[in-house]
Amino acid sequence: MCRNFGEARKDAKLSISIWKYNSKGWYRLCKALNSVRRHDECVAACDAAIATLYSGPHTDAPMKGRKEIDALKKDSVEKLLAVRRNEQERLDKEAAVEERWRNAFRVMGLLGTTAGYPHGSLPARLAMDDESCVPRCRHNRTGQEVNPLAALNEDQSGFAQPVDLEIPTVFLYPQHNQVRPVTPVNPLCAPLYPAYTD
Amino acid sequence: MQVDLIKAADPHTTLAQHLQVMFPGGPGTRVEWDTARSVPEYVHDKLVVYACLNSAPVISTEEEWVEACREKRDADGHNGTPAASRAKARMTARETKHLREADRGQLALDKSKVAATASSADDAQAFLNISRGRNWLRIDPACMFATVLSVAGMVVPGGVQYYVIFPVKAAAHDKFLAGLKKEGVSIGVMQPE
Repeated sequence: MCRNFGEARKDAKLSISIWKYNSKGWYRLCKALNSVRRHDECVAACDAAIATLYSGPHTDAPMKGRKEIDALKKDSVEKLLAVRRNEQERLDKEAAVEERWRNAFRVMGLLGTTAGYPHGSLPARLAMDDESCVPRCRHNRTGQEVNPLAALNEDQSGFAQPVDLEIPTVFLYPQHNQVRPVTPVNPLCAPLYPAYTD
Repeated sequence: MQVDLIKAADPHTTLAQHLQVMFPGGPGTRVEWDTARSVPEYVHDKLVVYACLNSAPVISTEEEWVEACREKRDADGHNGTPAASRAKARMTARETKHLREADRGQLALDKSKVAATASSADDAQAFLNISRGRNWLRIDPACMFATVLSVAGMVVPGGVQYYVIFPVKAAAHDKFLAGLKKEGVSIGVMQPE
């Protein structure tokens, strides 16, 4: 088989459409789909191949190729599961980051302060998904990061002071602008840091 | 610019407590970058602290905040270069609009918060004038972070509070004040309650 799996897939489909009991055509189709990482399509093609070649009226079709198609199906199922697992991990991680952001907003609310849009570029580069670069609330018994509103509700049922609030703070020393140059700030932010424009 | 980041400041601590730890002033405690003069300039009781009011557009809802966080992350390149360019363009446009409005004193402020802060100010009218624009507060280091954060007009961009610190007698401090004066910016003084 050539290494152009896209073309191979088209050719295999064509050969199956001409004669659907073409076991070599089915194998090539499954192999091509597996190789181009279309694993869900590959599993469906493997099932169709098995149903057509080995379970239908033409069960006298040579069993040659069955083992290879089973192996391709197994491989695709495993890769499909891995893809789904990775996607779920990514979604869980994203949900955790979003929950941290929401808790940060709640912490600012509890402190009676006003949240503002992040500056386009900051003198200190802070990553929004870094857990220690947004306001936080910790349970003071467990040290776990918690939803401050939920924790304060818990407060009503007995705990004296259930949470510790934390807020990242940056001290800027503009006098040392020339001593240690850093990544240029957004020029629009320069008025906020006058000495920076020296 | 030299920068210190305190990742998890307790809002109920004072600026002075942190400055005392960072710049105690005893022998052998000079910070490595404080080399402009033969004697240390950065000593906790010889520093002045400033914070800018209305330094960023206000976010009023949790959903808006989450979107803003996503946008900042995109701007930092989390989702590739094209997404970063788009996010940066949006942020720049928003900042431009905000600075224009702040400099004209056209910001929409939380009226109840402004009234509460003004009522505790020595000169309520002066405070109201300051809180409407992109002005500055000189903060007594004995103030708690929480007190500073609750002042009307104090906006925390991206959930991070910023303070600008100078040695009181430094030429850079004089230059900073002269620059603000030239731009017609007002400076309020904040003292502990």
